Amino acid sequence: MRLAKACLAGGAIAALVLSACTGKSGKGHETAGAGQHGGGTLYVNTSRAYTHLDPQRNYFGDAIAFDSRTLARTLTTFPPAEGTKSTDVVADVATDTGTRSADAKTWTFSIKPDVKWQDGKAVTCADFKYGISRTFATDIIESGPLYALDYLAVPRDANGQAAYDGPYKKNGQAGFDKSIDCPAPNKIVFHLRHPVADFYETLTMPAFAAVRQDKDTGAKYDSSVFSDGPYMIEGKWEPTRGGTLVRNPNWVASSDTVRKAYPDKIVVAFGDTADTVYQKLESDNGTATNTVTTTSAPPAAIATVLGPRLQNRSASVDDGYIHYLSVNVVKVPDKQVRQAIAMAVNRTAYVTAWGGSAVGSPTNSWISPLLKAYTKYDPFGVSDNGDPAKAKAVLQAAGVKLPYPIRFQYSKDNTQDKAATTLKSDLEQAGFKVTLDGLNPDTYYDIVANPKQTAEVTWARWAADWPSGSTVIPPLADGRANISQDTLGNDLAAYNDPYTNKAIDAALSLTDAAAQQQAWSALDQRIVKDGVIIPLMANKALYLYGSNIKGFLLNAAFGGFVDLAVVAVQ
Amino acid sequence: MLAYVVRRTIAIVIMLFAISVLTYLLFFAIPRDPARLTCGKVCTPELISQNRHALGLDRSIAVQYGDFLKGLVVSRDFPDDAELARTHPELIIHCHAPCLGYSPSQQTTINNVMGRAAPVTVTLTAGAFVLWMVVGVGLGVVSAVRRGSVVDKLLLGVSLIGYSFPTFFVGLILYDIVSVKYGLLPSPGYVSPAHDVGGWVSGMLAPWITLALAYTALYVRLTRAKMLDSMAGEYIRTARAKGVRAHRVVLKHGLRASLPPIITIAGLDIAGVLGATAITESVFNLDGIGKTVISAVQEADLPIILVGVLICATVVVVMNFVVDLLYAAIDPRVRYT
Amino acid sequence: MSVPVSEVEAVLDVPDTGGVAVVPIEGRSPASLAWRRLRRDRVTMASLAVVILLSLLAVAAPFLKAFHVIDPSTPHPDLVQGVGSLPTGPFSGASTAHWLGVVPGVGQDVLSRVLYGLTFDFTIAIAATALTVLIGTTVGIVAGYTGNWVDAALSRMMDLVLAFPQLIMLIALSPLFLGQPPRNARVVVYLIVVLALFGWPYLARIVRSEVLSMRELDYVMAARSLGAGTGRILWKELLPSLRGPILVYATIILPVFISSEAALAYLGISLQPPFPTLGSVLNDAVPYVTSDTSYFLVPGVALVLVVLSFNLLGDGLGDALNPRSDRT
Repeated sequence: MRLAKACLAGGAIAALVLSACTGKSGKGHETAGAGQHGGGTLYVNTSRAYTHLDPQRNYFGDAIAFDSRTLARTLTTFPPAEGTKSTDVVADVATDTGTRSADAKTWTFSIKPDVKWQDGKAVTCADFKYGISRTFATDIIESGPLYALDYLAVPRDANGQAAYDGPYKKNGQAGFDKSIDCPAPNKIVFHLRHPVADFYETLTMPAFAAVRQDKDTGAKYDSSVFSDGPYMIEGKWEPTRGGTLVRNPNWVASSDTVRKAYPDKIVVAFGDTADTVYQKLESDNGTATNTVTTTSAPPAAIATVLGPRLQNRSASVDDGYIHYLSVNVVKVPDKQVRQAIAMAVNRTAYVTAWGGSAVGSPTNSWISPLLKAYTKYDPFGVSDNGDPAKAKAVLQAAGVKLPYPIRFQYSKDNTQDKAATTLKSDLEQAGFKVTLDGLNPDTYYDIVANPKQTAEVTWARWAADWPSGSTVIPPLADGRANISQDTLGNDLAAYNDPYTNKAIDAALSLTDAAAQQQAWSALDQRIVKDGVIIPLMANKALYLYGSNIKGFLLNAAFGGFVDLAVVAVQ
Repeated sequence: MLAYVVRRTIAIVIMLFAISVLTYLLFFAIPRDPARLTCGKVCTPELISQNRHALGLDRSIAVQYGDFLKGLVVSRDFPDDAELARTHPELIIHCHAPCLGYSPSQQTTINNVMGRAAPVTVTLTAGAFVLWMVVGVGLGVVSAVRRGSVVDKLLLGVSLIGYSFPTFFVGLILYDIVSVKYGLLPSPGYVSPAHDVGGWVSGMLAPWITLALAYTALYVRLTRAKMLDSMAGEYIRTARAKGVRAHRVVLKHGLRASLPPIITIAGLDIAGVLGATAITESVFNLDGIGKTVISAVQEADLPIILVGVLICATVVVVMNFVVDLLYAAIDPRVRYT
Repeated sequence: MSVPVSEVEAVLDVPDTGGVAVVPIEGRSPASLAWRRLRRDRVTMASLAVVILLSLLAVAAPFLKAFHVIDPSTPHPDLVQGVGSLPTGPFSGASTAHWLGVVPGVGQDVLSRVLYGLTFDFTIAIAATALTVLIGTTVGIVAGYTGNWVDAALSRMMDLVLAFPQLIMLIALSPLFLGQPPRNARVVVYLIVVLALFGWPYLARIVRSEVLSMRELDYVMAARSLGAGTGRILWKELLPSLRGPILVYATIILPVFISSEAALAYLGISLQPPFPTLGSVLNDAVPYVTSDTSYFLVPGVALVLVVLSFNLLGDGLGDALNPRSDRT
């Protein structure tokens, strides 16, 4: 489905928790501590499975939100707070948010004394070191974020890649060992390859969580995570079905300022369609009273969810996902043609197809309006409705034969079909001939990232990994890191512009945060005006929850998903 | 009789063998590379070929088929890498004979996958079967006995309408509206009877009704047709002429004469219901064999699709065999064909 | 789904291999007798009328589209400005321009989409049925008439194909033949071919039984002894008697094909937008059962109507062609 599978990365950005109605605070807007009690069973009923529970393989927003709050603690984390306050990083396993060297290449943390694994043993520096090393074993531990490979000071091989293949193969182990020091079991020192001013933000990702070496089961760890959080897996966890979490008896509440762990049990179930999930929540029968979901309301349910009957059980949030089109610069080398595509697009109709203002708003920028790097601008002087006539004029001026044929690839489901239909209609008014290619969502990114199979125009969706433009522009627009003979990586437009690449390098080395964000904004405008990227919509997630749920909070830093740290059922 | 059974058994074995070869050949024309499934967004060609080698997918079709057959009697390891077995035995997945293969998308042996799925499908099919036979045949008898009456016309009409609704449509209505919204049916889901028999039955009610609906309609009509045929027979007229009471005539003679063909046809229909079973499992989110195959198709998980198709074909062949035996037991003429 | 055995058995009077075929003894030809019986059956005549009407609509739809009378593709976002992009106005936004309302989210005309979807479903179903009849009849006749090893081989082949459940194979083979993305032309060919591929053996079996029982009949033996060639016998003696069961089978299997298309659309195997099929329109409409009930009802009723009328017709034809149905 949309948010879990189709997104390229987890989301962690500043947002506003908007009330679904008129801003009054009903049951759903209590802050933590207001009337929650321990006990009971919480149900999480979500359409798309959390593909990987293995912390080093978490890359989807909802799986990250889940793991971080239940099974895999990290040195630092985001607090369960409302709105932008959730992005102010706090210490979790570490005693503070770390000490950095002047050049921001060395980071030191102390580990709290009473953080325990589910068998009672203490969490140590060695555990963190081992966990992070697993990211390098990309053949077995795959699909996770690869920041460790880039940031840690591990020797490089001839191709510029890290010369370490993980703890299973062990070649290059000595090189890796030097990048993380354990001067004491409760002290950890990171040596980075280049300055990273906000490394404490990077450490919030479960990819940097600890893993006990003697409990590691490689590819099977997805269903047998050994926990250092307030809960642990009971019995069998099935990656496509779900499972049950019970309390971790060795979790020490005083060591954890973030997680309240109110429910005694958490039962997770995957597989119902979004429509069925919302039917159940609406009916509020049986276990639905104690249910939350990380599936956003599907279009058919929006009117009911926002209706008077359910408004005190609903909440919505700008979750930071930006829908956009990539125009492949190799297949559409003429800049004017690309600009014509951008001018023809009717963003308002696109938003309508997705469900209207309840689930999104038109945007012109690749950077989410919630980031500091955001600037509002109109690249081509057409409103949000687009201007097919103007686009046609530009196309004719380009001197190409009309109708100009393009293929449009997107991840197929009923809503996406409708959105694609409106885009096709817009473009055909401007003189294009559009073939729609709705692809199977499960294999969507494999296909569109394959240079041989990708089309002229491709749909995608992205949210920043943490609240900075540096997790939007470099991962998506730096051709050097993304493009190889067999794949385009995340750079679906096959964009590899020398000026942009140099500008990215320059921006990354800036130590002044404000200047850095301005640099990202400038690059965003440059790329969009080149017609390479056509931003469409800033996504809003809309959720319903059971009538028994207390302390419901959507955490903007964790992709706008429900924060299990403070939810209670009694 | 014994000679007939032996002959048919040999024919079945040959048929199963032919089916497995045909299935393997058919599916190996798929251009999609299942090894790609084992790596995520950071697929590199080395990774893919590494994984393909580990899964044994870089060998020829004949060798893979041979491995599959061998796996039915000898246990297999995935990945089949002696080096890795020595250094990291916990990363090897061991598949006991009869081993059906390894699923890249579920990352476990197909035995595990099908082992979990089979009870669900069996429960769904068997329960629906009982439901449609009892209700369908029962109502069919009523309809035949009251031929031409309002009841008969009503039953026929409702059956035809019931048969005209696509299974997924009925299922979605029963799930989202009847069960979830109005709470008129218990919440669907599979619970193992070992844990909770009550939950097992109640959780399957909506799926059973969905699957049985179309077939109930058919069996009303079938029973009625067969009953009418047999009730028109000479010996019925004789019985009536002899003064045997009407309902005795119906039940003792009419129904008894109709039942053998009805039951044998039902045996064949069980095999034919597999498609509708898959749809029902999909709608109600029940992890049976059908849903597993459908998910496998979306993930292009070849090994599961293959085994799923083989299982379905085997069921069909076996049911046909059972029906043939029943026929041979009833009708001696058949044994000499 | 394949045709359930129970349905065929209920409707058709298929002789088993050891049985005796019933030969009508009245003076009129079997065809006119059948027609007479049919005409008396009002329900079946009504269903025949509906089928004819639907067929006409299905044929007309592409022309209506070409002359801009109907428009299944053009979006009208301005008509779906309700909360959650529901159509503005009751009955799914019904108006003089859109008699049955518009599709939520995108605003396409529902009536046009259902009509155009009808065309697609009819095309697929009729083509698949024609192909099934062609293959099934040919194989059935050859097997039944030739006998000996040819019959044995063909029967084994029928058994082999029948072992694979049709719907499962339709789903399982889709990655094979439909690339990503599946192109519309490919989907059409795929559906027709695979439906027919797993549909013919059952008809072949029926035809084979009929031929087997007819082969030994007096009038056939008489024709042979008079020197009539095989071709003549097939054409003049056997085929006329086969017309009935084949026609009934075709009427039964066509709605099964349409239902299969709907099931596949539910699973995501269908045409690329904006081309509608009955199954894909229904699939999109189901979640709107409470929020936009009229949009939910229209394709549902349409699909049920199509399937029902064919089933009624098949039932009636079976009765009409079955000489025994005249007996009490």
